[in-house]
Amino acid sequence: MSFAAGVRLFRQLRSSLAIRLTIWFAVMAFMLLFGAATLMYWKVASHLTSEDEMLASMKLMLVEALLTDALPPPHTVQMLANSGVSPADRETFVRVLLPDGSILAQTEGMEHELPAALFPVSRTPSVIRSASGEPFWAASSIVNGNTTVQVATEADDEGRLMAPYRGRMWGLFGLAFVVAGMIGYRIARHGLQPVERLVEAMRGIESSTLDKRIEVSRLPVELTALGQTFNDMLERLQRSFERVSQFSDDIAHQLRTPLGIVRGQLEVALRAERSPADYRDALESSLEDIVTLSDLVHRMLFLARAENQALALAWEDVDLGQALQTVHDLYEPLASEAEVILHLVVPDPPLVASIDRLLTLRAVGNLVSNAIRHTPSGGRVTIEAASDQDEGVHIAVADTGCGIAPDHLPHMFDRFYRVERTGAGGRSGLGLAIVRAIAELHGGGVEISSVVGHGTTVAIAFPRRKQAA
Amino acid sequence: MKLLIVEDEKKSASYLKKGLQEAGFVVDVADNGEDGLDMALRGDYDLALLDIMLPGCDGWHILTEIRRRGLELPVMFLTARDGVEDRVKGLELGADDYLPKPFAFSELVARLRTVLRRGPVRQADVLTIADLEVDSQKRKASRAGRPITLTQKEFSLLLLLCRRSGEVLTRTYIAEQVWDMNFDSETNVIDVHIRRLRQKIDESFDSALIHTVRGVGYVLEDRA
Repeated sequence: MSFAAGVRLFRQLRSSLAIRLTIWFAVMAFMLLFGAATLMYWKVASHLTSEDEMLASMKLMLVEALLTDALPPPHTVQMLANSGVSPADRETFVRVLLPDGSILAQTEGMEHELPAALFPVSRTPSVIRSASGEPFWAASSIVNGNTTVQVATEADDEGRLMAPYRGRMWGLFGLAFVVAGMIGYRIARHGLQPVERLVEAMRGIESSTLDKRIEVSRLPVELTALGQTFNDMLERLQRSFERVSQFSDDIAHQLRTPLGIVRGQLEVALRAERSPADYRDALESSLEDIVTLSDLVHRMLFLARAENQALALAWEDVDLGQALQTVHDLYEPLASEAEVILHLVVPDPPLVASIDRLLTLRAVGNLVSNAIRHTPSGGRVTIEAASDQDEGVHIAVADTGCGIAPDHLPHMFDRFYRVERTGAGGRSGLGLAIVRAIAELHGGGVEISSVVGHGTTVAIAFPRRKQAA
Repeated sequence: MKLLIVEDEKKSASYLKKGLQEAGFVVDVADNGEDGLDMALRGDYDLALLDIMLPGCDGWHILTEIRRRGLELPVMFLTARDGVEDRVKGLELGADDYLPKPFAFSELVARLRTVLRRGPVRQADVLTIADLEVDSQKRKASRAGRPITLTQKEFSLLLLLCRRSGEVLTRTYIAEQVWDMNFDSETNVIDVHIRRLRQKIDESFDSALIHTVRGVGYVLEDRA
């Protein structure tokens, strides 16, 4: 396997949740076992050590006891020295020295291994090294006032006793690691099953089955949030899908009507020889419809761009009083023809806001022309600008028209939404959608309130512009 | 005035040529980018109308080459691509105007004349069309010697129509020029203003000067 392939495999393994869990599980099991075994080992080893030490003490006490009353004859002492008092696997040395330092008796070979000078002058055993380097617990004492007893028992050198056990332990650790890994893998796979089921369920959802939902109640608690989030996302997707599809229907319908008229009237015009005036009439009429179509396309493009935030605003500080005066001047004749009073409340003191002047006035113009159209003669349309508490501004257009029923209100800013679905009048139903798009491009929003029979107020809110924007 | 149109769409090129010739221009057409660039560099044109998407090389390239060689030939883009970035790019490369399709032909002519007229052109202070006199300095108008009282905006509207006498102005263009406003053309708000102006300028006189061009807009001219 090449190095690159190895790296790839490693990445693959690392990216698998099950493998990761397995590795963690095995490592944890290994560490726990290793920790516990090490602790036990240490305990046993230190226990063995203290046992060795105790053995030396006891041996010394035994020899002392035997020699207390009177010094037995030398051969008895020699027997004592040679007899194995301690367990057979422990070498034990005993030496008895006379007051003049001459050796009365000693265990065979002791002279060479452990000369008398090596022994500590203490009843408490301490470790000394023999001539061949072996460790011994050694102690000495004086009995009968003048006879010195020296005792040494073999110490367990670097846990020789534990060595086979230690070897087995490493094997056990290895086995435990492998077994823990296998069990861990099973557990991980089992634990991840709900995730796989979730994936399976998600895979089954396509654009035609957007109404399907994940059964959140059957998921483990940890995955409920994920499932719920996914369901919410589906909900939003479904809604925008429906909207887009409704939008396409509306567009097709909007385009079809004027296209049909143009096609028909041109075809009819060409069916027979006509007077120039008739041709002219057909052409002019077609042109009017085509202008309508072309405006519609422009407006829809504007909306599409606004929704994708693909429009750059020309921010400038605008005196709202002056700007709204322009709107007032433009629409005042329209209002007076409809016998509606168009009233502008000029903010005092002057109100300056950072906005895109052209777009904002277009939005306000839309609102004003809507308001004039829906207000019966003798009514009143008021344009007003004011600052909000949070230093933003809002522009409101209020009319004394027929009002809008509450169930229509939430949809008034939707594209192509019309209270009467008659389609007559050649109006596209995009005006308010454009108003909202312009408000949202500014980071603001729109609000509509209405009382049937009393009138409607639409307000565009502009938040205070962040300097960094 | 000699114009170059670089447009690969045959029908577009054909109506543009016909319309502009009738508007008094001399017009050459190239139907691909390479020929277009060649002609722009060799020919003695007063203005070039470029499409962006062209076979051979695109409109951006033509404009870049023209400017690279230091030619001051005014350039207008006519294109279905009207993303903001495209518009900004066009103007940054040194285009003089940018008109997204579909556009009103009258709008094109109006803008063409604006680009061609750019520079220190002195407008006469007093404009006379038939028996109508408009004094742009004193902001006064009279017809057949009778003074006409106009509001500020009415005067601005009349002045625009007189300065562009003979050209058909679209409602959008009028709103832009007089009110400095974009508006959604669903409303007949400009029609109302024109109606008011007509009452003062044309009514009670023998001949009308302000004419409606169906499907396009308005023109002020002496048709008597």
